[in-house]
Amino acid sequence: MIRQLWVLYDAECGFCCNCARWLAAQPHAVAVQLLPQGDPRLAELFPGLPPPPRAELTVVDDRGGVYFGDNAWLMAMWALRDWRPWSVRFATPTLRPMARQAFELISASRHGINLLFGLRGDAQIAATLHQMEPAGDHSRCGDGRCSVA
Amino acid sequence: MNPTITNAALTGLPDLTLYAYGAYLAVTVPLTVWVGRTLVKNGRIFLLDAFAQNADLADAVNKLLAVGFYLINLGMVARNVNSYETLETWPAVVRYAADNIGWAMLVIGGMHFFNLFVLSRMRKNGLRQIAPPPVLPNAYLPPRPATAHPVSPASAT
Repeated sequence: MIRQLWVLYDAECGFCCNCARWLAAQPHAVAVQLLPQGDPRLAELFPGLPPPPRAELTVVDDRGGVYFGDNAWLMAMWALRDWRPWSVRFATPTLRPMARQAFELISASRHGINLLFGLRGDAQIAATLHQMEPAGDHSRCGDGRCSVA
Repeated sequence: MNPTITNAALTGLPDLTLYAYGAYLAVTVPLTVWVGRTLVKNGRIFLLDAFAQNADLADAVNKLLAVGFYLINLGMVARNVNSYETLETWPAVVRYAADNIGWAMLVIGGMHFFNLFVLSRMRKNGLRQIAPPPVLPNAYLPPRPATAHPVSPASAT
């Protein structure tokens, strides 16, 4: 019985960050923790985690299962109480190819979506905030690492 | 003689319309009640699955469905108590009763299958809510020693 999922999203991508925030705000059927791809905590949490293809959505379950691509998408959907029935429907042989295509389309065009809507990822915003900080003055950011997550 | 006035006093034939109504109602009303009770009795198990074994909710929805079923079917049965002519011969009585009972059975049967469809849909939807993960992992993390397991749900929240 899976009790928790870790959803690793692309923090460089504003659209993905918005999706992650939406995911976090939904009612969950299992515990969900969101982590940006490339977070230093990942290596400690999941030693030996295979790198995701093209920094795409990755889901890790509490039994060590790692999901990429449309599998990750379906698992993230499965974690949401209101969307779980849809994850089961999308995983049926009839709808599975459609779900895969939709995921690949959205995933591959996410940078285009960011450009179109002027979305900036949390990582980029944090970097900008960090640049705006006067050199040597870490008072506004506490420990010197600005975070917007 | 006015041809629309065809009662017993004018034609000399008995008015058997009430017998036809009696036969019709004697079959259709018990039939409706029997089908309704069957639905309530056997629909409960579907609704329990639909609502994650919440018996109170299942019984409430069951009762609400039954009320709708009875209203529609008894309403339809009542609307058909109308013979537009006075029935004066027994074959006419049988024809009227058979025709209307047949229609009532077909409508109740249709409602019954529609109810089954709704119940099985609700059940399937309910079971999807507790479905296991729809896909298998693409890969597994390498196993690690049982001590210091930061990925356990208790420690990482």
